[in-house]
Amino acid sequence: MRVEHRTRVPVSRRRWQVVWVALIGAIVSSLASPPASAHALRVFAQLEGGRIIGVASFSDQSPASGVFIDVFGDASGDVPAGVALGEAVAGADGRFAVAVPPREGYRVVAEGDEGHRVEIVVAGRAVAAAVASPGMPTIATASGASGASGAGSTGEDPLAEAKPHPAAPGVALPSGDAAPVAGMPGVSAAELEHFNTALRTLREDIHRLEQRVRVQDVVGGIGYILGVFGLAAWFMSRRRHGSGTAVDEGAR
Amino acid sequence: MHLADGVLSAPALVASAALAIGGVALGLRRLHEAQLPLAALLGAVFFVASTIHLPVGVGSVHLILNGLAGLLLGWAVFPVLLVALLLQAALFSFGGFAVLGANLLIMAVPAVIAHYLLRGWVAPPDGSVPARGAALFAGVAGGVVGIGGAALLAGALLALAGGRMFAELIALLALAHVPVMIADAAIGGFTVLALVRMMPRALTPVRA
Repeated sequence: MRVEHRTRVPVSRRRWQVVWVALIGAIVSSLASPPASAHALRVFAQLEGGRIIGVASFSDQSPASGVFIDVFGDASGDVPAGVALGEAVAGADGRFAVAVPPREGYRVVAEGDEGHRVEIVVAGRAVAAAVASPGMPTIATASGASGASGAGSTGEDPLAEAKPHPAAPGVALPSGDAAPVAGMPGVSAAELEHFNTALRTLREDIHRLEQRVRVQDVVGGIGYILGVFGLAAWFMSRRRHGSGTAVDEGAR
Repeated sequence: MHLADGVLSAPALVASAALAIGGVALGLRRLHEAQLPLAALLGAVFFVASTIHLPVGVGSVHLILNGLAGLLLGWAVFPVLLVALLLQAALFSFGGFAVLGANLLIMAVPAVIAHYLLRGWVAPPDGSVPARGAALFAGVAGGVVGIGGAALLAGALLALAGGRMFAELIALLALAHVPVMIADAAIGGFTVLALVRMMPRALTPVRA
């Protein structure tokens, strides 16, 4: 009975049924397979408290978890130039932190599957210290080089050399750690940490906005393609119609 | 699927660039004037498609549509995709300029293969209008050949590079592109089917 009923379904309708079944099967199987990562890998990182802290993401703004991070420095230390100072794997949210010895600058290389690779330069203590004006907490001060003492300081933990400062009591902090940071009167370590985190969040936001695929870029690209098309069409029509300019042809 | 700068070794970069230049030269010779508007259209579609991410499940799916472009254009797909890839590298930092040749090969070689495998289905040699089923099949198969071939080529190039963790991920690369392949196959199939229904003349090959 059922077989007879099936044969009565029009051929065109049956073909569409096949299409729908294929489409639904396709959607189901695509849900089950691992996601293909987007076209480009982006990385942002900065030096903070003797660590390179950053985030890796793909061009569709999804976190690039599982990406390998290598940090290289200049050859000035006990580590040769080609050897990584430290390495890490980005977590599920794309974030990573690599403990590094103090250097003038760092090269952060992120390498993922599907041929994704990106390399960025991160300012080390010298550049960051120059940026830091007295009393302005920056990313650099956390690495142990304050604006006052300059690049000559060692990479010791700033908390270790923190001394109580008479000017500090005015600052009230929720956390218990109210000890001021060396070279920065009136700024406690907890405050500095808070500033650094806020600063990093802000810089990450700027980086994300910069790297975003913008609609005007897409429209501009289409404009370029139209231009190339016009150029090719013009060239081909010239070849077909012989010499002379378009203006001449129109005037005739 | 865009390989980034610094992934491939110098010999692989030079070899793929040389092959890509050959493909572009051949494509420019084969590009007929009457094909030019379609070539520009498909180039723009390829350029834009990769910027659109549709969230599916945990990840997102985007279109590439190199198979569709190849099916309809043949060798002319080389210069068309070169322009689109160049713009993607310049405007979005997708891929890179040094690996442009390799990325062009990854996208265009499967597209040309799709053309030679499937052109009989969309443009029968006797000049008749193809059956709708045949057109749908050709569009779907174009997506499968285009993306599957691109994934295999990218995997092969990465295997040549032989870097860390590439080897075990080549199979995963193909697997990860199953959603992209399905999206491309669906869009390709419906595009070719719509062309057959509405504008069958668009599919007849251009002869100089």
